[in-house]
Amino acid sequence: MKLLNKITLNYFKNTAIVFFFALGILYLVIDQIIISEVNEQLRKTNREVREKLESGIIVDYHPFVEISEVNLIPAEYDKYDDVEISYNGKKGEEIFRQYVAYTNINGKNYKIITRSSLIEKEDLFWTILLLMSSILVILLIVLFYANRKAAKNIFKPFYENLKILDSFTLQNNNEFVLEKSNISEFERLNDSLLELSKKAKKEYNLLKEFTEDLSHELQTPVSIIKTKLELIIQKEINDSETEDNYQAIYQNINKLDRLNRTLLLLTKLESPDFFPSRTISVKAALQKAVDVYSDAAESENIKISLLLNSEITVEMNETLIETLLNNLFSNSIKHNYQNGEVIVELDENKLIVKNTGETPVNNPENYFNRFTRSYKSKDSTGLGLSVVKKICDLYGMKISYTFEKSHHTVIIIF
Amino acid sequence: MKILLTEDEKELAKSIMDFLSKEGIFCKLADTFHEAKSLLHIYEYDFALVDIMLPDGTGIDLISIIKQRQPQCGIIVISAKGALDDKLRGLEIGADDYLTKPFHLAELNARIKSVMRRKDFDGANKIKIKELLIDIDKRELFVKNNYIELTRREYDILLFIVSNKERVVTKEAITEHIWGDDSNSFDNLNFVYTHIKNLRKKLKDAGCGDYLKSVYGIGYKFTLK
Repeated sequence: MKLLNKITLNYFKNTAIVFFFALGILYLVIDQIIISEVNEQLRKTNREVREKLESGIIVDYHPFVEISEVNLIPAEYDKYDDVEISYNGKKGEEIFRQYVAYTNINGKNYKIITRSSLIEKEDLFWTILLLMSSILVILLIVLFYANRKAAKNIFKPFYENLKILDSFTLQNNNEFVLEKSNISEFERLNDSLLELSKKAKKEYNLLKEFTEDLSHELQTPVSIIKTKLELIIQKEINDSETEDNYQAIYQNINKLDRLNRTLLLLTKLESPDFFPSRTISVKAALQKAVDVYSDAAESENIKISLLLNSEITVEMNETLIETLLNNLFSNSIKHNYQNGEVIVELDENKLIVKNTGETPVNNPENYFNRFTRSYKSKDSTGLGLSVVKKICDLYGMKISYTFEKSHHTVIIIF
Repeated sequence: MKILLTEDEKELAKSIMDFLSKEGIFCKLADTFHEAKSLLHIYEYDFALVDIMLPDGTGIDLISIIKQRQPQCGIIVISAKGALDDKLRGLEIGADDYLTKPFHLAELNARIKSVMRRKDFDGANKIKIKELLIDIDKRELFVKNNYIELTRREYDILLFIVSNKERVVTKEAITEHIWGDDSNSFDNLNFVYTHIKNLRKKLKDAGCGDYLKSVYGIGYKFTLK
């Protein structure tokens, strides 16, 4: 629920309670005034009727005045009460207020009842209720529209800022500029957000620099070890244990080198300026990538099918699209089994890479994160898909992964 | 052959010099831009390995100097991976080839040879070793003057290994040479083995000696010994 609606609703609730309370009080007060007015009226009529009676005229005007002779005057007399009476053949009964008085005129006891209809009182009640309710409804409607209009102005900077915040990423370096507001709470929120974003960016940049520096610094020792090892293996050895050791060292230094190069690429992908773009045919790039991996696929007897139905071109960096496709292909071959298949489809603006493979056990959503592997880590550095994702992000392309019908499926929308 | 090597990382330079000296190549190391510049003013070189990133200058300027003073000198630019601009600029102003760091020594060796062959033979170049004859321009192999049909991959692998004659060439170096940097992401490089196996069989069937040896399970060596 929107904040403003919440506040308005609360306001409505309280207003309604006050209104009905006021309505009750108003009714009681008016009721009291009417009753005392009616009572006075009845007493006055009674007096007039008695005067007439004293002068020998009997006024009997049912139901408003009734005179009857009684034997005794009860101990308690002169009392007011409300009665329901039907008269003049009218249907239903009407409420009357009556004043019963006893008097002794010329030795005779008389009971004089004067009555007044209370129907007006009832009318009055409904009139008040209707009036008050109308005022309430009008107030609510006016309030609703006034609030909505005010909200547009008051909350405009707030919603604008929300939009700005939604598009906030740590990757780009430009600071966001928040819309000014003359409401102090919003201004405080803006200040806090700016401060928060600055802190987050600072921390992020430190971390980024660290990764970048680390992989930079690692590069030289790694290549020295690699070249030294290449020199060492030139020497003849006739000892199978040393051979095995060399092999293990060589394979692992290669893996380290690969890992480091990929990390370096990942940090470089944070700054797109490194990668000038040009127009590239996706079909041609795909064929080139297939050519690179056909041998690896063949050795596992994996069948690669190409369904290239569209000729699309993209504005991309050449090295990056190669890296993107190479990573997709090498993944589709690594996470496959013998005699499996890889299906590559290029359809309109979509690239679909499907391959047979074991059912993933991890949450597929994590595959785009660094160092997340599926069922086993055969050959994998765990960085392939995060490189792919980063490149897609850089060019605003959408990428998704699913596992359906025993096929790992990666879809990229250019 | 005399090579000028510009490289500020001492150990790396030493490895390159070690490797190349066994090919009969004499390397002169310059670890700064200014040293390289003054060496170029005094001596003549057949070849120069130019690192773009030098502590006191850029290799791009060195290339201009070389082109001006010693136009016959072959040039290979060495730079960090991904610096595409350096590559294009280097090649534009006259470098013969480009190599990204880190590289395999065997790759460097093959590149130097390839550039030298292009320079020395003016395009008409052939490699002859015993009964083997490789026509590099036509990409053809002859054994005892008989034409042997090779696949594209088999030919490329053979030329790479032959260029590094009497040296161990690792499977990774072969993979990166033939399939590119990214291809080296498999632990299992069986597909290299498959091609080598086919190549060996073709050579043997043609009556060629068994010069292609496996070494340590790490790589292969073309040896006449």
